[in-house]
Order: sequence, then structure tokens, then C-alpha cells
Amino acid sequence: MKRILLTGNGAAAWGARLASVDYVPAFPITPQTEIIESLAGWIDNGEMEGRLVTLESEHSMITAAGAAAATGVRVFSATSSQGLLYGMEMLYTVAGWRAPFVLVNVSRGLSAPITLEPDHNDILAARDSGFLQLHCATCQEVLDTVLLAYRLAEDEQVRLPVLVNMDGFYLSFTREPVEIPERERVERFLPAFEPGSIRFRASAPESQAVAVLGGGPYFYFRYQTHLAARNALKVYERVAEEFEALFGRRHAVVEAYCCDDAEYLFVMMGSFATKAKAAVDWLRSNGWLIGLLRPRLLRLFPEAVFRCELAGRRGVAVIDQNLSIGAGGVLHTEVTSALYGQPEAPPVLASFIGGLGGRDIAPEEFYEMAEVIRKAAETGETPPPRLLYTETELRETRKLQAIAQVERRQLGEG
Amino acid sequence: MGWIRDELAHLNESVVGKNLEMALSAYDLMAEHAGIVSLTDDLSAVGWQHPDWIELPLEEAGISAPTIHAADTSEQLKTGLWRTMRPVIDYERCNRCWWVCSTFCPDGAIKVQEDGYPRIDYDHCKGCLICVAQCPPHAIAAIPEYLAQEEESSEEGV
Ligand code: SF4
Ligand code: SF4
Repeated sequence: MKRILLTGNGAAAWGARLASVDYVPAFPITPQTEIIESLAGWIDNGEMEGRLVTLESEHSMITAAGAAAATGVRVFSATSSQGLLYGMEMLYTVAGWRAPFVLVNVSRGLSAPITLEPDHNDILAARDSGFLQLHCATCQEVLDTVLLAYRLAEDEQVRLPVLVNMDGFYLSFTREPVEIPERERVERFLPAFEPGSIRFRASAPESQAVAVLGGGPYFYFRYQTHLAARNALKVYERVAEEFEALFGRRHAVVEAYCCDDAEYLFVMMGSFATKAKAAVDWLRSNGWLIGLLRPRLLRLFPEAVFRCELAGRRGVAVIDQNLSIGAGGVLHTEVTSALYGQPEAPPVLASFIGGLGGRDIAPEEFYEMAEVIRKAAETGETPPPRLLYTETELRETRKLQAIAQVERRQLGEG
Repeated sequence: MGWIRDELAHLNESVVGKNLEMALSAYDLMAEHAGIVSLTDDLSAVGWQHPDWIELPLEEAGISAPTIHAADTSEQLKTGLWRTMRPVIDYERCNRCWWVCSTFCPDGAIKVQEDGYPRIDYDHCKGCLICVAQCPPHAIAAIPEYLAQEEESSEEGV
């Protein structure tokens, strides 16, 4: 088996190549990534079959992806941040068509102000769209997850598009050793797409995604999409087991690291969770009973797994790399609602907002968070949400504001 | 080295050569460390420095909106690097209508000079070629950017 140094972008492209995708609609300009560039190169020089078509926007790209998937071919595409939002109308639409395909998102903080660094507000904006969501923490996981995502999307019991998320820069541009599985083995895991009931042909026209009035039918179709998404949990578990048997890597619905005897837990998703893992190791070497829970599957939301994993813990710190403006951390809200009324729910479930716009989370911040939840557990009172933002950072920002002020004065605006 | 060659195989020899050179010089820089790259010690989880977290105060929008109160910031940022095709004006053909190309350019990259002739600011022209399509006497040609650059560098070389 080949293990080479690949970026997250390279790993996503390899995933699509190994899945033998038939069609890749792509918006070719920023914020598009090297994923599409790699696929275009391979298709161009004959290393990969399939057809790549460039479109004038992510809105058209996602429309093309859904339309092609509705004809029963295997479709792949990729986008990032503003691009995902530009295609938002069609995300909801193609999910409603029940068109199965895989879309990789390279997470990046949203404008304004504009940034190039990652957080999860882009992908979470698509939370309610009907796309399933899988979140990756390593480059290997990106490749593996693209393969898993096709099995999930194309399953008769699911039939939904899937978003695979990786963090910009931290994964997309960072090389890690990645094992590229052999094609024969991938074909055993992921055979050619068997489109079953979706066969849209020019010779046999049909109407997809019809208009409905009166609420009743609308309700039915939307709720069916929801039920299909809920059904994806057991399908994911089965598929992940098959994956492990063939490739030896386990990708559980929720990764539980050092959780068995843990009294305290960090909960977070994406590549920054690897920082939490390191902090868990260091804290454990100092006698802490602490672990990390990292949801891979965010939609559907695996609340049963959370209930079970969090039961009986003394304190939990949910670290959100996102901010629902006017509310707070999205993951914290979801975990809290999963635990309401559960007899064994942890008494302390604290919310931390960190890592917005790619802002690092330092080891001492993890230690401090651990301290905060330990102290809170003594009184049983959950502290108010805490921003991981330092005095030093505010001072830096003040400098920039001072420059803006001077300029304003120069312009004679007081 | 073989790895760099593999990945850059589709580019020409001089690009591959430059990359190899850079990689080797970076490697040489590490020579004094005898190839040993050590990790910093794990930060001890006892007695660490507490982060100076603060509560961020609410400030009025006039201060807390991300605005730069200054003109011409985009002048200094050369966004013309994206261009794959370069519009080139043939001043023999240009009949100094003065307004068509300069008005249609979505980037404001065409300025009309005192003598009535337009000039393209290649530091900001994106190569969308709208000016090429709009010019009534077809006085603007589109040339692949790489050819234009090769020509420029050979002229400089002379
Ligand atoms: S549109 Fe054509 S003719 Fe008119 S000023 Fe521009 S280059 Fe000259
Ligand atoms: S190519 Fe486009 S950006 Fe460049 S000068 Fe012409 S119209 Fe303006």
C-alpha cells in the first residue's frame, strides 16, 4: 500500500479519483481549491476517466451536480466558504430532489471582514439543507471519508447528497502521510453506482421535484428527507464497519479519545480537535481523567451517541469554532438539547468560542478550559460562555483601529 | 528530489530546476543542525501561564465595523496577476472614441489620457477581454499572457 505526503486537497482529489466519478461540475475561480485543479489535470492527461465541466458559479455548479446525479451517474464537486453560500439555494433544492452525490467543502471563515483562514460558519450555514455532513480532522480521513460518503449517499435507504468538510489551511494546504488504497480494494468497498429508482433519461422524460400546494404534500416530502437523513446513522455505522474490515481504519460516528474513565471531556470538531487530543495526553500525564469527543457525523446529529458518551461525566467543555450571531456556539446548543431531561446528563456543560478565522487555540487554553470545568463541577454551576480571546489580541486590534482613526482624521472626518 | 520531479513533471525544466534549487538551499540551511529537528518540550500541564482571556466589551458600530477610512488602498494591491489573456491596444487603429473601452472595463483599468488615447493599467487589468469585445474599430487584440511576458522578458534581455 502506498503512503505518500498529500495535502487535504490532494487527498480529496484522490478520493474522487478512486471513487471513479463520472462527472465533475466545477466553478473554476476563487474560492475554488486545488482539488478541482488536480482532477482537471488527471482527466486531461488520461490518468482518470470522467468528465469535468466548468460552470460560471457555484449556484450553477451545484445545480449541474444535482441534475447529473439525478440521471444516475456518480458526481463529485468541491467548493469553499463564500462559494458554498453562493450555492445555498441549490443546496436545499438538490437535497430535496434526493440526488446523491459528494461535495467537499474547504472550511473558511465567512465575510465580512473577509479572511482566508478556517472556521465552521460556512459549513454550518448548510446545516439544515438536507445534505448529510461529515467532518474530517486529518488528510487521511478526508480521502477515506469521500469513499464512505458515496456509500452513504447512494444507499437506497438514504439517497441524499453528502458534504465532506475539511479545514482550510490546516488540512487543505498541509501535507500529511496518506495511504492511498489500492483500486481493487476500493472497488470492492464502493462498486459502480447502481442508481436503482433514479433513472432519468432523455428518451424517457419525467418530472423531478414537482411543485406542490397546500402544505400536506410539501410536509410529506420534506419530512421524508428528514427521515432519510435519520436513517443514515445505521447505514453509516454499517458502512464504517465494512470500511474498517477492508482498510483497517475505523471512522466512528463520534470519535471518543481517552473517554473510558474520563471525568471531564472536551467536545469539538474538525482539525483543531487534534490540538485537543494533544492537550488530553498532556493533562493525562499530570493525572487528569479527561478525554475528547469529536463528532464526524454532524448531520444527521447523533444525539444518542452523545447522550451515552456524556452520561455520568462531571464536566464537559464544548469548544465551538463557529458563532451563531446573537446566540452562541452551534455545537454547544445541539449537545445541550440532546441532553435535556437525561437523568445522567453532566451537571456542567460549558460553552467556549474559539478558533474563529483560524485563530489558534494554545495548549494553555485547553488546560485553562479543563480548570474552568473542574472548578465549575465543584459547585455544579455551568459558567457563562467564554470567548477564547486575550488582552494581547485586543491590543493588536486596537493598533489597527488606531491606524484607521488617524486616516479618518486625515480625511477630515473628525 | 525525485518527489519534486514527479509532482512538477508537467511544468518545464527551468521551473523544476528552480524548485530543486530552492529545496536544496533550504536543506543546506539545516546543515548546521545536522539534520536533527527537535520538537519543543511539551508544555507542562502544571504551572503553565494562564491565558489573559478578557470579556470583549461592546463598542459602537462606528468603531467596531471593519472599515478602512482611506482612499486608494486598491491601487497598491496588484490584482492583475490573475490574467491569462492580455488586451493590447493597437494605437494605429484606435480612433480615440475615448469612452467605449474605458466605460466598459469592469475594473476601471483603462484610463484615457490627455491626448485622447486610452491606456490599460496592467497592474489591475484582469484580462476579462470585455474591452476587446466592445471596441468598435477592433483596435484591441487579445494575446496569451505568457507569450506577452516572454516577449517582455526577451526585450528586457536585449
Ligand atoms: S474603444 Fe477602441 S477606439 Fe475607443 S478608445 Fe478604446 S481602443 Fe480606442
Ligand atoms: S481585459 Fe477586462 S479588465 Fe482588462 S482592460 Fe479590458 S475590460 Fe478592463
